[in-house]
Amino acid sequence: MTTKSDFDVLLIAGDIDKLVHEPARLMLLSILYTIDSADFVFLQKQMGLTRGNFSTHMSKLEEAHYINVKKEFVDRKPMTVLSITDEGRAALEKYRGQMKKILAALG
Amino acid sequence: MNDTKLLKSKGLEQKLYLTYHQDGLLDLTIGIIIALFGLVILADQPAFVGLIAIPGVLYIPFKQSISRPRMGLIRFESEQKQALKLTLSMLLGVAVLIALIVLFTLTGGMPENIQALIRDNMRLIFSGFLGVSLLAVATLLNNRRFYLYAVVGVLLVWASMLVPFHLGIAVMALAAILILTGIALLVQFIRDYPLEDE
Repeated sequence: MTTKSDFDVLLIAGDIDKLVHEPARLMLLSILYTIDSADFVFLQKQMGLTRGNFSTHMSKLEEAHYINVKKEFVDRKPMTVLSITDEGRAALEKYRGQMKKILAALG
Repeated sequence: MNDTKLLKSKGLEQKLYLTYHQDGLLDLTIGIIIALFGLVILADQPAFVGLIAIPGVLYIPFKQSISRPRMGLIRFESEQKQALKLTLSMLLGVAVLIALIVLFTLTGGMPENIQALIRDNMRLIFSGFLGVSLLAVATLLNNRRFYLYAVVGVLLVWASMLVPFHLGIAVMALAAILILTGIALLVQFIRDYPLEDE
């Protein structure tokens, strides 16, 4: 049964970072959190998104400075390489903490 | 790059490593190395042990030309650290094989009791070296299949003691398992990740 203090915790849901909360962006940030970096092709294929869809999510995270997007030459081929920033890392960690509290309040 | 990770993401990391190794190239490369070593044993030609390192040198170029255009690029850690780990793994494997060759060919200069100990437990010692090498690859390169190969390798060598049959055959059998697994994985990988037009 949800108590009053549990209800106060549930109010955290209003404070959730919607940028992180979106499933595709959450997946992208989670993968980048775990590794050093990966390119557009790898991430798009692993996430099963179309190029356009992936680009949209990538741009939103880049605008928020949660990820770095760099054009690199790897083996003389141009690649778009993504990595998570410190802000992105902190945002994901904060999101996880908030979700843990919310789910705990639900019992 | 901030290396502090507050979240435990080992499960996701393992899955990503499995994805990275699903092309089977590591299994193929190490399978060929083990096959060459098996040939050295069967032919009793320790002079050819230098050839064993050659497939290791080809692993990265194959990864770059076959896997990367299909799957894309992933870096688990900085490139320097990755290259160091890979080089260490290959050097460790080759060093172990060379140490074995040296151990089994230069026992003549050792005290009689040591010679007898090595002679009587040659395959046991070899199985230890083989198991440890494959476990090191599994740990350093985060590829769980190599834990299984380590177990299979040790069991094959023990089987060669019990049945008995030539040690080289046990080594070649292990090599065949790795190579066939590698080929199967590579074929599946090429189907799952077709080349796309730029």
